[in-house]
Amino acid sequence: MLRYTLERTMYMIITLWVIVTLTFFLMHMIPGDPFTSEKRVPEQIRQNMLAKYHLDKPLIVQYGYYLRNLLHGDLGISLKYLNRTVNEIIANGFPASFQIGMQSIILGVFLGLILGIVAALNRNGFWDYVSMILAIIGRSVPNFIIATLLQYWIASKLRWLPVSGWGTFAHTILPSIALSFASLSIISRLMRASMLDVIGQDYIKTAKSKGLSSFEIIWRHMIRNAILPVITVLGPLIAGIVTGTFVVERIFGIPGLGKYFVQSIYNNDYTMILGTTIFYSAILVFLVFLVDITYGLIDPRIRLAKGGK
Amino acid sequence: MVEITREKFERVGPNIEESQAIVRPSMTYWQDAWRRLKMNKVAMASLVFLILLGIMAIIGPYMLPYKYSDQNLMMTNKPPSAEHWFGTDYLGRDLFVRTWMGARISLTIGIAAALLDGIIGVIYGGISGYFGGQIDNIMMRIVDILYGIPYLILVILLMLVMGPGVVTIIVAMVITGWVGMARLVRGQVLQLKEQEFVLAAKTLGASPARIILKHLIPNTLGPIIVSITFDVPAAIFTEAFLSYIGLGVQPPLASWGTLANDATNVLLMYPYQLFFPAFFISMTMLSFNLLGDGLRDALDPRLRK
Repeated sequence: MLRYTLERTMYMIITLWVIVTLTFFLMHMIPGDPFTSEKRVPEQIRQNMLAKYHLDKPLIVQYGYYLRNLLHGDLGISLKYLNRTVNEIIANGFPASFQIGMQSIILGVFLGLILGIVAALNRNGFWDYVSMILAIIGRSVPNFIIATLLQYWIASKLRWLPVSGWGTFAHTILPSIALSFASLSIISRLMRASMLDVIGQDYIKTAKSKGLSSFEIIWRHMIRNAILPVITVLGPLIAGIVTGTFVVERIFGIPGLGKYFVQSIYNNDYTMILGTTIFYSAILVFLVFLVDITYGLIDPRIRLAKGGK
Repeated sequence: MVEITREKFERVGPNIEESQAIVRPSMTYWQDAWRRLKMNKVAMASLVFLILLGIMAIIGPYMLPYKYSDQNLMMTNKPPSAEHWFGTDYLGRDLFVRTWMGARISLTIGIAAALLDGIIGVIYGGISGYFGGQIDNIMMRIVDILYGIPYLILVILLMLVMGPGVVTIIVAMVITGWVGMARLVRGQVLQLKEQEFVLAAKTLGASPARIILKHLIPNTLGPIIVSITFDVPAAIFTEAFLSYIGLGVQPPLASWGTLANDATNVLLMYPYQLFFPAFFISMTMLSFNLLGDGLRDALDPRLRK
């Protein structure tokens, strides 16, 4: 297990380094420099500005500076929001994004699991059809369309919840639902299939003949075994939720990081794009790492196969 | 008493010819898969829908006397009518024509990206799986690292650098998207290459390229086709997402993502504008997914009845 964790950690670090390097050089391939769009300034001032941000140095030296600052946790200064560092903007926007993201993950995973379990236990029953319909919607309707429709019907037409903005818990409900749809549908279908697989196993028959109560059979024997394959898809699902915040925050007018990210794309705010990309990638890579480790911890087969070597 | 002679008996042995005759017409793998796919109503309905969609993407833009970029400021935001079947947008552009232009672009991007992903992934995975050992190790470590990079974020970055446009979307998606296919093909090739027919081909002196292309790849074509079918809706979604945040195709060109984006701005007043792009994106993604499900069942020899 230790070896497995170390291996995964190494991968995570290499992946992050590749991302940082790639992002840095990609950004510098864009023609012009960040001050090209400024009003005409005397050549001397321009040179001074370039020198202040080390932009007059060779690319490889700039890369060194950037890596060094990055290791100190410094992502640089935004080019659009004067005198604000990228760190500040991330610290400002992240809490809102984090709340929406976490709520969607919890909603998607827990509701998905419960729906999958209920659907498998009532095969071809009412809840099975509900989960099937949800799965079809979640698989085929893009999250930005779900978000727009929820906003249109629930908020503007029925006026049950606020249309947009941020502040109270009510503001977070619709964005969280819109984001969780995809993961909810995938997890419920996977959990259903996995449960049906387990229900047919001999050890369930054994458990029944031992006289265990059906709750105990479901809880201790079915769910525990069925949940394993579901964990593997959590990584990509979380990635989907995190990138989904870009559009959902824009639709619901939430002052989160996703909104800043999309805005920085419109504004060509390069340091901001660089900083947020690296920040997002780091979070995603770390979450996938966590999922991998959890899977290793839970599944004894992986623990033995990798750790025993 | 009648004498029973030998001549009165006739030997009824097994009729060798009849018992070994092939009763049902022999079918190739593909004929059999097609037969089973035809029995799957959902998959066939999806296939028919996709074919109709493809035809409309070709002829749709010419069915009304407008061009996708024609603006008519006297006729902005009109609901569906006899002249404008799907209505008009905020610049008076005909939404019927634009929806089918969008279909053309979204389908082109989806199919082109999925096919290119497939080709690159197949070659990479085939080489890696066939040679094994150190080559495989290095090639797969590269894949592992690329796989760890968040797909959509990298596509967004590449779009920023290369500038928006149809070709750049495809390129950006292919640069990051082939990794999944490479993993799939490598796994299949690893299983297949130990089998006797590969040994036979090797003994006959076939080159590695020939073995990979003529023997290994055709035998994994089933999973490859299924995977490509699932990649198409993913690519269509990515394009719509990029267009929605303003990094996709640029106006006056339309894709379903840009149409949805334009429609959202006026949603409260003119909700019909969102209906058509949203409906077609969803139906197309659904159809490709259901067709993929059907193909997966049809192409799996273990499910053969």
